Amino acid sequence: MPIFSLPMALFGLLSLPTLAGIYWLRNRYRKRTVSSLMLWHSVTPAKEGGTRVNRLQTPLLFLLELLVLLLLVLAATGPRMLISSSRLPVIVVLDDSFSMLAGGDESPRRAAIESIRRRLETGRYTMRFITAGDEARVISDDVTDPDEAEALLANWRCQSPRGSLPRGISLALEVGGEIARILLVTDHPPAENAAIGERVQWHAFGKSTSNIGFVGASRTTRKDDQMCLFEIVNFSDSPTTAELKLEWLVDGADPAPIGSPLKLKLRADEKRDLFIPVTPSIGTIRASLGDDALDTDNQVVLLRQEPRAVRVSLGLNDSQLTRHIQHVIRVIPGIEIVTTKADLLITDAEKLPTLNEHAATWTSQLISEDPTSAYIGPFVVDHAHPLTTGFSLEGLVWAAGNANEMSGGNHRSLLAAGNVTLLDVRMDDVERHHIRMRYRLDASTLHASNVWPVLFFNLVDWRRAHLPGVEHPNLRVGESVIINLTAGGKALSITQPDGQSREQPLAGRRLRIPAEQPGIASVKIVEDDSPFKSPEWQYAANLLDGNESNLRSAGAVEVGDWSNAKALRWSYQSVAWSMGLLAAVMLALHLMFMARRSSRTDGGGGVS
Amino acid sequence: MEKQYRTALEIGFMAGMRYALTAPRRVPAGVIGSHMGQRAGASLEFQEHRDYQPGDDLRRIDWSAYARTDKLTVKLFREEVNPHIDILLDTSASMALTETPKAEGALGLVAALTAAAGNSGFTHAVYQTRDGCEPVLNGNESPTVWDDLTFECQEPLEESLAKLPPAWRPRSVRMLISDLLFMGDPLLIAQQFAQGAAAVCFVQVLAREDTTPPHRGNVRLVDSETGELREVFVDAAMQKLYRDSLAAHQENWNRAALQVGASMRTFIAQDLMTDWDLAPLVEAAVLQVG
Repeated sequence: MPIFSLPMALFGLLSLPTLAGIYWLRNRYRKRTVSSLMLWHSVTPAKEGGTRVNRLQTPLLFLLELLVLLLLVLAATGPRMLISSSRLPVIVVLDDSFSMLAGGDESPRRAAIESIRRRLETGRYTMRFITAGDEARVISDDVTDPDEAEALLANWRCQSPRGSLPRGISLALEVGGEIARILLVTDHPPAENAAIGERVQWHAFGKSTSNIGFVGASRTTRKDDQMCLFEIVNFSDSPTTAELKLEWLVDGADPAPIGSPLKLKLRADEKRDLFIPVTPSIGTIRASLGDDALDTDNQVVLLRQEPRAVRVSLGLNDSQLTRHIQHVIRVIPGIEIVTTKADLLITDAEKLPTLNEHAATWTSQLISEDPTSAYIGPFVVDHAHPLTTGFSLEGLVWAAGNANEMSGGNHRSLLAAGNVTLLDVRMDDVERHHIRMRYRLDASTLHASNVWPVLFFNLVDWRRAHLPGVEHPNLRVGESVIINLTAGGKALSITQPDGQSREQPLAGRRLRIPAEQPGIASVKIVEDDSPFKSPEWQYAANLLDGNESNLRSAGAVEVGDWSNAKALRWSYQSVAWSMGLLAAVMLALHLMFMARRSSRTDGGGGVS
Repeated sequence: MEKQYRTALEIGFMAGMRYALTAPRRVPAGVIGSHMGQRAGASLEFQEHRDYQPGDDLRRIDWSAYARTDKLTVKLFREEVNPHIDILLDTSASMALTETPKAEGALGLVAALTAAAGNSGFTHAVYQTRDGCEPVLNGNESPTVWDDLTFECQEPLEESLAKLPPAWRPRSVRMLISDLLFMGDPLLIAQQFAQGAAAVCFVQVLAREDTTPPHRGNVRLVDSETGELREVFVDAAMQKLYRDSLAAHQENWNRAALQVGASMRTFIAQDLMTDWDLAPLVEAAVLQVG
């Protein structure tokens, strides 16, 4: 017994000699000289039996206390016994990828649920379920009832673009402890050389079959037209044909077909990229292929990519600078030159205008200073920032004031020549960014290089990425949608494609929300008492993954033998609770004897 | 004699000065010569005539009456009694129980009784049990001069009385000072005391430890006289049994005393030595407040 590795048990064990010592001290014979023994002749000597109950009182209490301590010590050692009749705890790891839905009513998911139900009906298992999708999640407590299990498995939707089985197994090992067995439910057999643990049983319910499906879809906006890109793959060893149908989804009306269905002839394993122009006025588009083994990848939904023009205001005094900047700004797409309510203000004023708290204007200030130094490098560039992406300053002259520091603190330096900062940025309290650029046009060559348009393109693109609304409304399930808010609020309400809504607290004005289900989800701000209606945004998520659409690797197999009868009959289980229970019974007996003893004491007489 | 014994004698004697020994009901009041017995005796006061019976003192034959009536007649005179108290002190080892003032209490009580006797004009004699019953050295005198008193007697009181009884004075008041914790028939001892006595009183002196059984637990009992060992487990039931046994023993003595016209009283040494209140003996009409 590992007493010395269990401090509690060790301390408990030390109490045994302590108790014995207490009893020895208490029960040892005290010497007493009496006038005569004649009055004690009727009293039974201790060594000669007599009134059994009276004699046993103290030893019995001692034995009870000793027994209680021993039981507690045993309980502290965490005893386990081989118990045959108990249910075997099983953690079921459910492959949550969408390939589990292949086959419709005869899908691996349906077959797995039936199998789980049959196992539970034997009465030999308790099961807990974990879904293994992008993330592994525990979706239930221990279940023994087949009906209850089936109800819980309704939450197993198989809506993930991929199933991360190793993560699921790791979580199962963590949740199940040392005893539980792990049942892995999927649609494909393990890799040939994969090592499956002794406690893991791999049960695949898939069926190798051909499939055609979308593996990519996007919708882009150009000047006056929009383009849809579809990537379609024939996961088959033989050529096949498919029909691509486009529809315009309109709320409250039947879908309107867009053009005629497109007949596709696909070779074996061919991947076909289709660029299809659509009228910009068309809203949500649904593209679908014909029915086959897996319906999930036969359909994609694409929202219209709303044009997101950046309103730029130029507040420049230097005519040369104005000319160079206007020259660049004209060629950057998605820009609208404005004089008020600008998203981006480019200015060479020494002092920035005071901005209203509710204004969304970012500023880019070009600062011309004296005295000036011309820097040819080396330049230290923060390439991780979107503003400096693609910068190559080699061979350029950048002239600017030579003071080491610019006034004002809390700026992040993005570009510096030695210890002289040339470009920095600051974010204010309402998450607006303010860029400062030290630049002397007359002594520099930057404006004559290709870095100059790159710089302003980055500036506009960065600002565009932070315009209010959804940054990229079409994405894959599992990716995160980015939403920029114009103002704060209490929380964000998200309505999933299946109609379920949930709220999450707002933190900042740029939010990332994982796309959890395929379809169109909507998002809006829950405001406390705002009289204005909050804008509502939408994003479309599609299940797109070539590995999952390829069903040729699916198969039905059962690997692992933990479920044999021997393993079921005998399993180690903790019996510490029984020790505790027995100790409690002993304590109750102890109390009973003590009560009897007290009542006897109360009945004692005296000598008058 | 140990110092504490002498101190107890002095204190007891002082306490006894508050009391006077009550003259027995069968003894006429008066000092020496005036205490007349109920029986015929050797005093000058004529009581009556009666027929001669063999064994009568020939000196008492009334020869004048014989001449007149030709019958042997004896003249009976009232017996002249000297008031006297005989006290037998049990000096067995149990009377000097370890760590108790039992011996001091008994000695003080004896001294008080002699003081009370003196107040009533009684002479006294004090005996102790020691290989029979032998007089205490200077026992007829004031307790302050008593000597050679030890509590070491190993033989039972009954045996001491049988071996060498005290030289009882006829018609004396007799008292036994003892813890009475010995085997034997109380009635036999009581009868022995009562024979020829004017009054008898048994005074039981116990220590608090004699009346209170030991606390719970295992106890090794040692007999103070024989040294015999006995190991017992004491619990509430045992304590009650002990108290019942003591009460029964005291009842036996009380009954025996009543049968011989004697009285019996019990003192707890510790209580007695607190204020030397002899009220129980006053209630028993042995003493009266002087």
